[in-house]
Amino acid sequence: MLNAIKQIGTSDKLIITAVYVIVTSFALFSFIPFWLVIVNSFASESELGLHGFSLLPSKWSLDAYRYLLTGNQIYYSYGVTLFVTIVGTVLAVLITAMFAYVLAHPKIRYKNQLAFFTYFTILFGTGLVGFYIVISMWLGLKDSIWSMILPSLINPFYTFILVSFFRTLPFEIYESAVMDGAGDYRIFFRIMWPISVPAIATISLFYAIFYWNDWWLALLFVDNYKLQPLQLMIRQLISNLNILSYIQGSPGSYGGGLPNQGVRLATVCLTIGPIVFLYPYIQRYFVKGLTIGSVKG
Amino acid sequence: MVFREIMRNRVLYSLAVPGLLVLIIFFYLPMFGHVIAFKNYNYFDGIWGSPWTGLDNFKFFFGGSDWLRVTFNTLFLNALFIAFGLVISVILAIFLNEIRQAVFKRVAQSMAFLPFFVSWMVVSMMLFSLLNTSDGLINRSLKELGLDAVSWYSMPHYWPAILTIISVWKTAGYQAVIYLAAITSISPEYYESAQIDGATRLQRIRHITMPLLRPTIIVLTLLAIGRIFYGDFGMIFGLVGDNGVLYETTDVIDTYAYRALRQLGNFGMSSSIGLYQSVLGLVTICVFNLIVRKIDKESSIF
Amino acid sequence: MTKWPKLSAALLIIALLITACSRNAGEELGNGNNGQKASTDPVTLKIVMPGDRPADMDKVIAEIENRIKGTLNVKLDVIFSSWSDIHQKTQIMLTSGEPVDLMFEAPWMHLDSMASAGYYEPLEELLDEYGKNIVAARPQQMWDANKINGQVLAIPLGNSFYKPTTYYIRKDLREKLDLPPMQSYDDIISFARKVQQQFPDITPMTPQTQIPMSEVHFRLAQGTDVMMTPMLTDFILYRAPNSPIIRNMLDDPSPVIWSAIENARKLYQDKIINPDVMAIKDPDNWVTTHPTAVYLATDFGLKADLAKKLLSNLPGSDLESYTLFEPTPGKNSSTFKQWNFMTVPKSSKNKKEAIQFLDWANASQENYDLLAYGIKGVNWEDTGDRQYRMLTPDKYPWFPYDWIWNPKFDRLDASQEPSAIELNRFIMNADNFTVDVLTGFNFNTSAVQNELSQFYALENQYLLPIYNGAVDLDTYWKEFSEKAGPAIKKIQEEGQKQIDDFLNK
Repeated sequence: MLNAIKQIGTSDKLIITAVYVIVTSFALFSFIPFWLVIVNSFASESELGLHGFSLLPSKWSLDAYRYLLTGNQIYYSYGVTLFVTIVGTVLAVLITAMFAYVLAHPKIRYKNQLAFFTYFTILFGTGLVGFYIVISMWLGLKDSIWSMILPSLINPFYTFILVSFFRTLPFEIYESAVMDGAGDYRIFFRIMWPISVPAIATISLFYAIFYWNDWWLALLFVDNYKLQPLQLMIRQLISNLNILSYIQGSPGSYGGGLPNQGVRLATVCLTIGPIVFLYPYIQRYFVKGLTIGSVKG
Repeated sequence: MVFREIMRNRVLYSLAVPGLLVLIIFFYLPMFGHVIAFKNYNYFDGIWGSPWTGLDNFKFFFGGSDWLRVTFNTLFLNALFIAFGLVISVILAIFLNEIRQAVFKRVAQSMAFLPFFVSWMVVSMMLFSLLNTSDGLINRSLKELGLDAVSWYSMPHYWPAILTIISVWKTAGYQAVIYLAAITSISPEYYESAQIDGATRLQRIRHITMPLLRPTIIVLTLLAIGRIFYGDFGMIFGLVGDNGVLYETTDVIDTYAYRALRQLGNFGMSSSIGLYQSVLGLVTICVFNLIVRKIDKESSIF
Repeated sequence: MTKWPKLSAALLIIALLITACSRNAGEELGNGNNGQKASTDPVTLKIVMPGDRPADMDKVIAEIENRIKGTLNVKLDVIFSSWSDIHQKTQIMLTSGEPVDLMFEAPWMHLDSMASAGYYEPLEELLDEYGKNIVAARPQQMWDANKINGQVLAIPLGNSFYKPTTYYIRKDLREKLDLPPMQSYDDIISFARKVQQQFPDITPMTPQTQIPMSEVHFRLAQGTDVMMTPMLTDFILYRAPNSPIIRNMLDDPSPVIWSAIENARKLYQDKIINPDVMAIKDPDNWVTTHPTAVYLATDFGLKADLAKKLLSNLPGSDLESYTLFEPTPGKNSSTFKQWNFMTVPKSSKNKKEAIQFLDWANASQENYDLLAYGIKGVNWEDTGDRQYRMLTPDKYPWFPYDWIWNPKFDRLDASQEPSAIELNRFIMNADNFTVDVLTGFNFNTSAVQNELSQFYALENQYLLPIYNGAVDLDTYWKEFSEKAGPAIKKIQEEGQKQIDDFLNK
């Protein structure tokens, strides 16, 4: 008996060491390239070109940032992106959670049909022409900030992730809550929502990142530069660096003196901005979920 | 009957109404556009008025010599991404969960998540500085070891592996978040009673964590399989770009169609490609969903 | 529980933001469509073009609107879309019938197919009535050569009739090797070979992956022995100079082209051509950061900023330029085809005003200068002799090719070498070129869309690596012939038929 416990002890120790080694190496594998991007965005262009990426550049320069931060566009764009991300995430999480709850609810007989109805949109894309005509012509959302929010309020992928979480909810509580005279909305928001916090936090994170990174909707529907989100603005700046491959003919100063590589790296820093702090914040809910999760069972 | 069911649970169903509206307006309504895959579309005749052309728009793709190869590449690369992404992110999530040291856990988790934010353009730059023949990091190391430099950018057979590594690097941390959230909603009582029974960590992982993660794993995999015929255009185009030497193993349906159609501006032809991918995806997912239903009814998605 | 108050507060805030925002957006754009209601309301012209919105764009637009106030009642809504997206953005705008008044187009976008499909307004009458200055700012050859299916469907934007090509040579290395300045292509190659022997760390030569910049393409485009056809921007179909007969490399190979292809393979195998040639995405950047002895550019002369950058990155280095182009009047022929265009989409509701605005911009040097270079004294300065110097390239970069470019008013960049200025002057004059027999012909792609798409998909995979010597010639050529042969044949036949019809008219 004692021997067995000892054995467990050593095997556990072995495993935990392996866990630390593997997690540490994966973290470094992820982090080192990222570090190279961040730190080299501050390297001078010649350093970057001649010596490539270095862990700590010897010549520093802010040229790339100076290029990206000239003009007012960046401020408009940050504002638009923040608005779209915040409003979009709040609305999308609310709508998706309610929808997924219904899809997972044992009382709903047409779950499967609803699920297929949702899943079908993953398979069949909307098709560009139809999508464009519906949003810009029929709904008249061209050049409206809502064109960047409304079409993404339901993401079928995230919906199903949430459905798979909701399926594990303790629906026994549901019956007793109904007995106590609670309505469906009350049960959902007061009982189910709090115990699903880890899942909802995950989905919020994904929606936030999705809205933050999206430029496609803006590219299609936003012409007004004051409503251009950050990612689209960056896209334009970068593609301008490659301008030479498009123009034929007379010379001119196309901007060949720009810190080409540095600018590309610096965009990572700029676009990652606030969103990168969201993740550690969301992490809190994973721990919290653990304690609330023990309610069920 | 349908009506009665809905009326009985009308309050519950009403929770789904906003979501349904979004799906109908922004996903189903635009689908009428697919009809142009069978038409010679022009704006002046409108979508309905444009002449029907039958399957003419499909000819450029199936009439070419490469549709089988690019379809295979799409399937093969996506299968690699899905399989390796799944295994590594699940392992990562389980291991992270085993770590009790809160600060270390948080930092490691955040680090693994960061690559998700690096754009393909920047990844491509870094990859080039790693792999290029004259002064890439790998080739410099090879030379120092007395080996010959490898010209990676002209060796197509290495690229499925290279792309898979990059895909895992970029998305494993992101996917692990889902599994971590799933693990945290497992009741700690299970672990406590296992501990009392004298289970080792490995046993706990095998007999508690893994089985309880299974539904999430299945759902995520089914979701990914639905889009297995859609190539990751951003990634492939960003990393391979115009380098035709690598197309043998890296050219996917989306990049092929992009190249073929970019100068023609024919939406009918590009819609036909989308339709082809959707139909293949539909067939695949129905098969997989059926299999999952047979084995584990609870985890199927519809 | 505190959830409800929080949630309702959040919803309230959202609702407020929704109303606030939609109102703002609505107001800003409100003047878009109701331009023609009353004659006093200004018409807002929606102009779509590629690039990144310059910081000083608003100031220039304000100045334009200020200057035209008395003559024209228009406002400008200039929309920039990035170079990588303009293609798709304009395509979806056109096919969904969105009202746009002026739209940038180019053969490398979808000019031919969209024009053939009828998306652009025929401009003859409009130009006759409202656009006299637009017509006058471009030589007749330019108008004749850029008709599409016999109609003026797009206003050509360009200032020259020849695509310039230059080799950049590392002057410091050439001097170290005691070589005289380059006189021929062979000189360049022997220079590259000597560099390889003497300076093993320096890449001898870096061509590019894009179509006009591959080793074979670049070299042949400079010669006068074979010419490309209007069907493909590729030498796989070719013709003798000034000949209307389309030949096919696959069944009637040209010795000139074939030897250039073999030469490229040899250069690659000898490691003269950069081994990563197919993977370099940004060759312009490459030349200034990685030591390269020979480099290709589609320009005359050196770009001053490029040389400056090289100098600061690689101390002691120096660049010089060498071109194979011979500026003898009549020696080179031209089809006078242009690379950039401005169109008036059929969906525009302000066609008259659109042309009137362009007419104003093409009417005088001052107006042209304002659009092309920005505000005088602020964004640029006049250095005399129809040259300019940029003062704020970061605030108003050079982009006349987007909307206004013409040879009558265009100025040359004063920072170029004098020899380059001379060459650029030469190619701006239409009379210096022999008129090619195919001038004015344009290929209608509608009959061979499938074949073209198949060819385009294979071109990158096979021809570009072949043209840079990066792959085994025998296997790749054979595979390419098998896969693309039938499509190319059909394009050739259709092209020949259209050319014959064109010449018989």
